Amino acid sequence: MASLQKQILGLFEEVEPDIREVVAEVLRVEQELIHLQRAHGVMDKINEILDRVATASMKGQANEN
Amino acid sequence: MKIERVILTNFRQYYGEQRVAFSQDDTKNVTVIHGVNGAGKTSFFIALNWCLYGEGIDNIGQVISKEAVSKAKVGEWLITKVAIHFRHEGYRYVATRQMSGLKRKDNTISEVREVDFVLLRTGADGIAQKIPNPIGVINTILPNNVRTYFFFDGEKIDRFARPESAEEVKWAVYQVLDLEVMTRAKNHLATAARELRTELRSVSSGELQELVARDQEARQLETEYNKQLAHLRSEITATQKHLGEINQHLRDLDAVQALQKQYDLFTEEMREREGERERMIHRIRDFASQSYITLSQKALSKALGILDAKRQRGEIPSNIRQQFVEDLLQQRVCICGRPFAEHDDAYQHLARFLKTSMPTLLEDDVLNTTGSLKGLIDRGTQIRHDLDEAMSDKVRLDQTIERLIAQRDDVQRQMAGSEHLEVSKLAKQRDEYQVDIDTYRAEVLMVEKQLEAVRVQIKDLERQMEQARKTEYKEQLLSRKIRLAQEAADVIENFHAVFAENKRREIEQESRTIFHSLAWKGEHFQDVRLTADYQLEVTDRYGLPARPELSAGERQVLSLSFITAMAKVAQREAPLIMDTPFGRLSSAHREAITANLPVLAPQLVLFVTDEELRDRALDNLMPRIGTEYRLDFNVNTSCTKVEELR
Repeated sequence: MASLQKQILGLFEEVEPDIREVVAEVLRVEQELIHLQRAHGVMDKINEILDRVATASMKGQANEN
Repeated sequence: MKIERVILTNFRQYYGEQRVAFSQDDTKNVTVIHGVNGAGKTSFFIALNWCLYGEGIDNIGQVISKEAVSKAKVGEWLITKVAIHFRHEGYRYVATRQMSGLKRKDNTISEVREVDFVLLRTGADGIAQKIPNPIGVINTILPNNVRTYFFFDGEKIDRFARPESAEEVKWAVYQVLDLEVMTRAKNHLATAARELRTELRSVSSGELQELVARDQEARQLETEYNKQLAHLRSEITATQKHLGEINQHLRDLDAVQALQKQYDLFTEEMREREGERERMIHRIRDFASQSYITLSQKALSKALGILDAKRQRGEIPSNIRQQFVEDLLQQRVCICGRPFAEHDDAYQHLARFLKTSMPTLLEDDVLNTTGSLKGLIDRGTQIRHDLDEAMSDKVRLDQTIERLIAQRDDVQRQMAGSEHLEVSKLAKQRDEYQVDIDTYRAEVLMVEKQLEAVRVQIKDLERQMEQARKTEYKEQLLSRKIRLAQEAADVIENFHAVFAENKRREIEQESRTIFHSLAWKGEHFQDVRLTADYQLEVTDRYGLPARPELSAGERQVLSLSFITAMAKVAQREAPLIMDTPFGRLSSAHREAITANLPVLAPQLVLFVTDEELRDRALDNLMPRIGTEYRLDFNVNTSCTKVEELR
């Protein structure tokens, strides 16, 4: 499993770190809920990920400025 | 995932506790479990799926050992349980699923308790932890949607090579290679981006930008006014300095010393009176701020009159009478009008009555209100009186100042009209300077007023900007989230297609290699292809499609080649567990498969009948077998016992 995950995450190595983080986190969530045909709560979890990464990146940008 | 052992407790025909240890040796990676038809191979296979994924069993009646039920007492709790011990990426896990119920008189089970699934993980430190999200973790080890390609039976093996199975083949590739996970991630991220855009449209206003511009303008104005004030004040100071110099000069001139002295006296007194007037204006403002009491005098008097009238009519109980008694005592007059003295019986009687009379709460309130009203009326009267007095004082001060100005102007005129040229010139200059100072002061007042207004405006803008900033932060956050969601969705989509195509080709290549090693007439088949639309194709030595003419056994070999190729390409560390895989295969295929299959999986578990695995096929497998068991079904008890052979 790890090998396949590493292969997939390896695809996104060149991508901007924030996007890569979102991709990795969302893939993890989807993997955990793959047994459900209609995964309730998945959108909330994705929104949480987006919120966390976006907030952190805005803070980072504010500190740089 | 490498399975170490499986423990079944009262599961179907496995009465009591039955253990099977799976081989973990890399060179002897095969576990064989023999059993005749009906011995419990499929039950064991179901136990694995039920334990890890909760599938295959609907109720406890289907799963609990009938022998256990028959031996239990009525009302006794019974448990059926499957535990799988396995290793994965350096951790040891124990997955346990159990159901329990109460035995009834008719040998059935009731009051079934919910299925309990627990996953324990032990790291290198030896500390076991209960995993809070066991299903999610199992899905990251060997996902539910993928397990059927690792735990499968003979029927499944046959399915992929059927001509109508393109969709199923594609689905299998998508599942095993996590392409489905990528597809869901992409779709959900795109949905998130869409929903966030809608949200952004509803909050976006651009209000902050406009407020910032207005704030900048107001602050520029504030700076400008401050500059003007500073300039005017420095002009006043400079002019006052000139005035002082002129005054000093005039004091030094003998011809006008007396007049200048008068001028100085008037000026000094004017300053003092102006100071007084300033203080008086402040007092008047203070009184004016309390004038509401004066304005409400009429209403207060009316309220007091009503209370007094009620008290006099006796409509307010005893304490009002008490007040009445107090009045009588104070006035030394009886109710009949007869006067009395302090030592008289009537006085003593009234005094005793007053002491014994306890006021009630209502009476207290009425008394307090009366007192407060009287206090307010008195205060209002006092304020009006003080205000009148202050106003009169101010008028007097105005008159005094006016008189002093007139007197000083008179002196100034005398000096300006002096025959002494220097005096006249200096006096005229002083007059001009004084006019300048008055003009500057008027301008200062005007600019101060404008400055105050602009500061109020700035404060108001600050409040509005604070509110808009909160909204704008939300806008910025939403914009960033949209970008993250959309770009993540786009990047997954881009790589998904490339990844899927690469993996399809890898599976095609592996399937070809494996098929040629497993099919006994491999030379007859020229090629195995997994087409772009996921058709599993075979061509013969003439390059013609050969799948329609494949035998049932050859179809199984093709399917097996595809499944093992997928497992290999996916590089999943998972066992291949096969239930009666060789039932429909000829000996030539069995021999080829047993010779080659063990190298295709890290751990191979075979549930077989003796007929499936014998002769050369068994010989081929023998050097790779690590553990071997027989499922021994007892016809007298209808129970299966696991017997260890190796």
